[in-house]
Amino acid sequence: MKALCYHGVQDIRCDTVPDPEIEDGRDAIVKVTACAICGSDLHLYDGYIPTMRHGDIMGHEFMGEVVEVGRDNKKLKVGDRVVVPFTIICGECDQCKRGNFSVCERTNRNKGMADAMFGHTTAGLFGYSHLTGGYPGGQAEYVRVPYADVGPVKIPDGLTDEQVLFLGDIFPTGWQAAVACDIEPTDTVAVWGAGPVGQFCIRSAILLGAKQVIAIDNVPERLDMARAGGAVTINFDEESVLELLNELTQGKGPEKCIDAVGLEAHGDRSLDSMYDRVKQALMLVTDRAHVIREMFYVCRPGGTVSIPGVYGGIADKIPLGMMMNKGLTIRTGQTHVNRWTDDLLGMIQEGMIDPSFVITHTIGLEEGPEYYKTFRDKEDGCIKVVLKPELHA
Amino acid sequence: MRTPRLPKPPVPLDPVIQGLALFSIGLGLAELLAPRQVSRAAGMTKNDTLLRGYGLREIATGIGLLVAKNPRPWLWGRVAGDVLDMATVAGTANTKKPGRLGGSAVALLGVGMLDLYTAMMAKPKLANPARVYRDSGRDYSRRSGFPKSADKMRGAAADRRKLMSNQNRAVTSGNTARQAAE
Repeated sequence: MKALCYHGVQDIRCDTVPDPEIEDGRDAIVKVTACAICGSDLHLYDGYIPTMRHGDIMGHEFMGEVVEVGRDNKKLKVGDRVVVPFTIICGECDQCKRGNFSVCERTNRNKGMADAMFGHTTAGLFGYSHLTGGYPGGQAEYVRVPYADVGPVKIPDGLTDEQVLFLGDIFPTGWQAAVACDIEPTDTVAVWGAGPVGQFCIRSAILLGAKQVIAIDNVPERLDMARAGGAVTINFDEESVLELLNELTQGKGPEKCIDAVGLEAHGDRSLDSMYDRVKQALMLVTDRAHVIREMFYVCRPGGTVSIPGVYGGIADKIPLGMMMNKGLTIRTGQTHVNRWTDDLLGMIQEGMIDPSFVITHTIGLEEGPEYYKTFRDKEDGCIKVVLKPELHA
Repeated sequence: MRTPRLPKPPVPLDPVIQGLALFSIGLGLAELLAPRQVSRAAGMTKNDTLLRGYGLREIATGIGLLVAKNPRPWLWGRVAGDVLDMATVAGTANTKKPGRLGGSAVALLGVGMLDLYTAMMAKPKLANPARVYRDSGRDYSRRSGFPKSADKMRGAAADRRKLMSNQNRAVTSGNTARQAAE
């Protein structure tokens, strides 16, 4: 089969690799009908996430048709149409029973490595380094889905792939970030980053009733899309983020702040972001914390900072005194996808939201490597790339 | 206006530029902290103050290369620095150490050629990303994802969650009542 494989920093190739096979009775093999390049794939592409190996299959946002089922899997049958959450969950461990699916205790095959890195293991993830299990990802024609009697979400007829694909990652990620803010009708929610996750944060905050949503980015098309979703926008290349956020909140600062940027933040003109870039280039830190610093500074005392953006390791100059003295609540974590999928699928079925609004490019697998760069460099108005294996270049 | 396309270099330049930047910072630190050892290794007579000044120049150039959106001025700065270094080595040569002098001449020439090639081939990064992004001509101003205006959708999911939770509560209390009756 064809698959997009990692071959080093900024080197993704469309390779021919062996088809996956059932390895466990709970497995299923899914024929991928649509998959996407996620913003967090770019952290792998740019070499910021350790433990990637040559030939690893990329991708953790995918859906398709079940073509084979393990003998112990009573949930799925051949022909079912499913969206597969990026977190692999067992459904039986203590964390899964609490709904903390992204920290499932059993699905990371490299638990020892994760224990050493994080203190305790987190869940296995598709196509996201050996630190999270080294599972082959979904940017391929076929995928073996482990624990497929728990994670995959069956999709009812009448919904297109484009409408439901993002249930596997970015829609619940944006939703969880907004829910974590405990939004009140009087709240202003500021969202750093108007990429795909940022767009879903904006819409989730609106749907959850925020009085005002403010989006911060420097890409005009992304700001256009943010405004379409109901946000007031700040272009950080042209305007002062801190001044405008204070002005828009009568000098009090936003009650809720969401970081939908993560470890590759670049507030280009600020001294601290230049400092971060130098330290990152010298390998003294892995993550650039400009957005975190800005959020801590501008957030209203007693407010909440929600961080769905991916961080990989160590950052520097985090103003903990500011965080502590202002009494900020910090909420973060990989997304507990299955905690939200029933609600979100219901909202899509009811027509409350159509997530396909975010798709700007649809291509075949072979064009994937080129579009990693297009997406990373935000060229051609690229916000979200969907890959369809059936499309040939 | 998009940046005019330059001939594609045979190897990706970003790692080369990063390598030159790190080399510059490393050499600069050595010149700043141990000028005597550096001049001895390069086959020069000692001149600590000059070497320390060159060290500061190397560090500034290295940091500039790491953080600048457009690396070209910094690369040309390195080329000019290479010329200055060659002139300095020639002017302060310790003729008693011809082997060391020869070695530093070869090293200076090698690094100088690499600097020159990289400066000629390097593309400016996007100096003003906003201006280039606007060239895409794509209009997403109507892509809300909502069936109605964002204002009309405000709070729709909060209302739905409340409704669902009330329904769940009703089902639960119905079950409790049923169980009590049984």
